[in-house]
Amino acid sequence: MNIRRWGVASLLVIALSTSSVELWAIEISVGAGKRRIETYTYLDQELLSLNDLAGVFSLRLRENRSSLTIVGERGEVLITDGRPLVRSGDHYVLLTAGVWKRREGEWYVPQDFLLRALSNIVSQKIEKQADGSFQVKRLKTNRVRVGMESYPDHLSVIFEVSENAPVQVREFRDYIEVVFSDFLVRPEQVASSPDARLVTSVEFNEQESFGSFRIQKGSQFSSFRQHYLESPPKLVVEMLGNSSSMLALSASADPLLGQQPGDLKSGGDRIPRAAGISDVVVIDPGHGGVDYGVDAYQDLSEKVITMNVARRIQEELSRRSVNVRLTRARDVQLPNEHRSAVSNFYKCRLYVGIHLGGAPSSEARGPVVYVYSPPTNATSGLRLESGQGEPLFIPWEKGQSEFLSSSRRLATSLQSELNRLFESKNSVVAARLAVLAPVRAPAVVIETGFLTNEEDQQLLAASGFQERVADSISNVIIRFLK
Amino acid sequence: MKEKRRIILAVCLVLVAVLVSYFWLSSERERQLAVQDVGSEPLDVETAVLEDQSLGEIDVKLYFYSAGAVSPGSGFLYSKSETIYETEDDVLKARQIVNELLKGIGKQQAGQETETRSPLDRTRLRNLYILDDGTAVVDLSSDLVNSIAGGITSELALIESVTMSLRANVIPVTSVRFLVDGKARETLAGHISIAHPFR
Repeated sequence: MNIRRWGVASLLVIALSTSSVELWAIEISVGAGKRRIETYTYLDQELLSLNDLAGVFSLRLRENRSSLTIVGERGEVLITDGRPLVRSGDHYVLLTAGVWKRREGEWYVPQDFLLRALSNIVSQKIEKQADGSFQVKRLKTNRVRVGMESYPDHLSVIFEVSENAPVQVREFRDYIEVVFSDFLVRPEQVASSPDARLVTSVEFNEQESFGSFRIQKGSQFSSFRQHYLESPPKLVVEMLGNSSSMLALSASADPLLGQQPGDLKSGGDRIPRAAGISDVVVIDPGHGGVDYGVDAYQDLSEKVITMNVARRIQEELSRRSVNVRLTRARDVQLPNEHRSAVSNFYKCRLYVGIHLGGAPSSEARGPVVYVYSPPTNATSGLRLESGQGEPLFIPWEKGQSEFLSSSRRLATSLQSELNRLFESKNSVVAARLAVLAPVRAPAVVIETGFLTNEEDQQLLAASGFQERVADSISNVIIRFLK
Repeated sequence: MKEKRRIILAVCLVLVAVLVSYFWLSSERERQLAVQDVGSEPLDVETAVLEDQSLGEIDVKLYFYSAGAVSPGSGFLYSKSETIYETEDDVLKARQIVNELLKGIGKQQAGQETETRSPLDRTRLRNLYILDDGTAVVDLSSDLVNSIAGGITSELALIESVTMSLRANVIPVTSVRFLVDGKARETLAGHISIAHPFR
């Protein structure tokens, strides 16, 4: 009697189970062709046959009793029978339903497994279409070049990408993680850190989805900032040090500044000139932050254009192997004395300030290049000399005095080059510019047209013209450096 | 008869009321006109003193920025004659010159593209004194400094105008030093150093 009851009950359970499973299929478009994947609707969940998926995506399956490891081109996923939590590399992914082992070697996964887990380990991009089918495309490659630039107050880690992909920057205890998506990341070049106190290393993590980078924090790291730049697309992660260590950092961040004057004179390979002058060209984009400079129509302000031009000069000169540093790498207010200090910090070979003109009359137009004009009645100031006649101490406002003629030479070349571009006949102007006075190198300030003049304004609003201005300036700098 | 007398009395009362109203309104209108004739600008101490001295008026040569000029030197400024009160006090003379200059610069800027410029009508010279060595110390308000158009040319135009005008008209002045809101600043408006006097 008991056996008969159990038998009937078992038959009922089997019948119910069978009736709740329906056999369907979804289409996956792979390139031009289409592949069908068996699906089972089991307890209202549409499940996909993993064996079929393995055929489409060239997966290898390693079964271990109740768990299964799925190995793709870019990584592996571990799934366990009946559980919705799957492990993908270092991360866990929660699916909408548990995976199902129907029998030995026959596994089923919910649909979101494709987008949330499988896409992390295959080299194809999987997209769900409006009709419920899936489209599989070969993933495009995002070539990422990682560079680093050392500044007096921070270290910039620059990710120059070939594709404008979405990116996430996340902070963890020991590292900052930069995760790119949509494209398969291929690191082309990862620069080594110039200062281990802020960044010890930048590592590429192939296991993470499309590929990610980890910026390992140094002992002096305190916080970070990020910003995005266009044309070419770049992500800049600024690693900031704690303020008490910045002074020490400033003194040693640049290898040139860590040396004594005697070391410089004895001559390292990087210092071809005497008197400790480095090969750095400092470009100073004027204004910034709450200081907009000259404002014009159409939300055009001096601080934006100066930054665009400065960045273009940096790109152009870097392309020609010139070591360029910007005084400000972001939209921030910077006092004049800090700008001069940055130039002297780098012991730069030349300094070029980028500004735009403003005049009481709208008729003033064209570029004007300024050089420093010392006050006629200024006292000579304190000048201590070493035994060899080398100055040991130069008053702050007298820094430029020994470079007036070379600055004038640079300014004349720039003025005539820019006059050609603007079709103007302006001359070099000598003025008491506070930013130039302390600079211990040939130094000029260029006003690349007047924002108070309608004609100049229209020219400068066009990014193409900004590039032409930057290229003209770069050409003169290259000629001057030779 | 009694009725007739009442009517005449009423008419007389109305006539008296009309006449009183007329005379009151007329006197009020005259008072209003008299008020309008009074100058609306308050008389400052400087002008009151100069009027009181009754030394007459003199012409001075003021220097203004020439529209379109970009390089200080010949043609950067143009001169224009203005009349000020005659005085034997050099500081009072210098103050009048700078005030006239600032008014002129204000008109010059307000007259063009007012949507991008702040007229200087609210700005004032805060103070001016002349040192024994011939340095005129000109203390400008930050309102004035903030309202110039921006750019190196604008700053140079203001500095050159004030320096040239004072040197040309006030004999003891040989150089001009600028302060802003009573304090020495690194630059006038972000570009030109005002740490040393201008000649």
